[in-house]
Amino acid sequence: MSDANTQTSRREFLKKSIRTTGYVLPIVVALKMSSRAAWAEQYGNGGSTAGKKGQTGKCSTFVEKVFNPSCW
Amino acid sequence: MFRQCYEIHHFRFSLTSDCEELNPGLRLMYPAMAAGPGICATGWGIRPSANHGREDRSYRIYEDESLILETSDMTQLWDGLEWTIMTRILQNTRECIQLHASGIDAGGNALLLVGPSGSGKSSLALSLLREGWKCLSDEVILLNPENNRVMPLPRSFRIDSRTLGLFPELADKLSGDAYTGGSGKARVDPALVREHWVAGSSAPAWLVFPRYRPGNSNDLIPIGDTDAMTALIGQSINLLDHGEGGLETLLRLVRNCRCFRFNTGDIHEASLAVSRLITHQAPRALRRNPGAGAEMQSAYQC
Repeated sequence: MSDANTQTSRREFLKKSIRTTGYVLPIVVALKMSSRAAWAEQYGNGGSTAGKKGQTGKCSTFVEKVFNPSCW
Repeated sequence: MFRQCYEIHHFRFSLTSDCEELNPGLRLMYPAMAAGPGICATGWGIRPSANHGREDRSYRIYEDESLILETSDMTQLWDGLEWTIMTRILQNTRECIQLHASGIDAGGNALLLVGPSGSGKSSLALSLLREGWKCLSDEVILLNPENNRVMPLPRSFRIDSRTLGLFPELADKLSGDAYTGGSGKARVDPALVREHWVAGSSAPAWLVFPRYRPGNSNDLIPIGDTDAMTALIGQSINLLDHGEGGLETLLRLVRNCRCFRFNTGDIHEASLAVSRLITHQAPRALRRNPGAGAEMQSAYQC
């Protein structure tokens, strides 16, 4: 998982985001972004999770829910 | 024997199969990405397993000659193959910001339909294809941060039975092979609706966030940049990988587009409303240049 997905860098990212955009984005945006953090784990594991309900078996990540037919 | 190379934004991959009974389903997966023979970065092969026989048909999926799945369950076979290929495609296009959206091309400008599953993106895209527009994708839009243009990812659509019911002319054209996997969704080659359906790279001009609920009236409501940003971030796939630059790119996208929330309960009426939007509401950047707007209006004629 990349640095961008660690707790600290996520907080920093959000701070910089607000400075960058000039918006105080609704807190729900921040929460949604945090919930995306696990997606990166899926990328490198397409092969090993083939035919399974994702890495966790729960279809819990955004990428799984959208693209894994066994999660539909 | 089935062997086909595919290419999507410089990522070349191949599908091979020794199992003739799987060929029709394989042909339906990515026909619009088909490429000529050549070296591929990744290859998937399906072969019968050692105990493959008339009584017990089981298969092995290999990715670059490594066994990744062995199964006699056809649902698991198709779903597993689709999932593993899609993750590789996403992995190999990660330099772009990937949005969970469908997209329509209108004379070099793109209209993006952004929303969660069930919001009507694919249905609307299919209906707009029927109206004569070209399409970028039913599910994933690739936004290039370097030039702010969106690029197509033209895989076959996955359509559920409710949506298929809205397109009765398609039902006769679909074969049993369209229903591969256990999702209950049919794999539909959009070429059945419009022969040359794939749009090229386009400059986004409209962002529409559909909310499909049967019985809803069609309301196209302009929204502000903050609301649009919020909705976009909620449907971004790899924003965090792009760090601050990703957010800046999304902000440029929002500021370059006219943004609308779209409540709809009738897909065909909705596609007419979207067509009217494209035809009558010039892209944001063109508002300062009426001459260019007139030129664009003529480009919209399909």
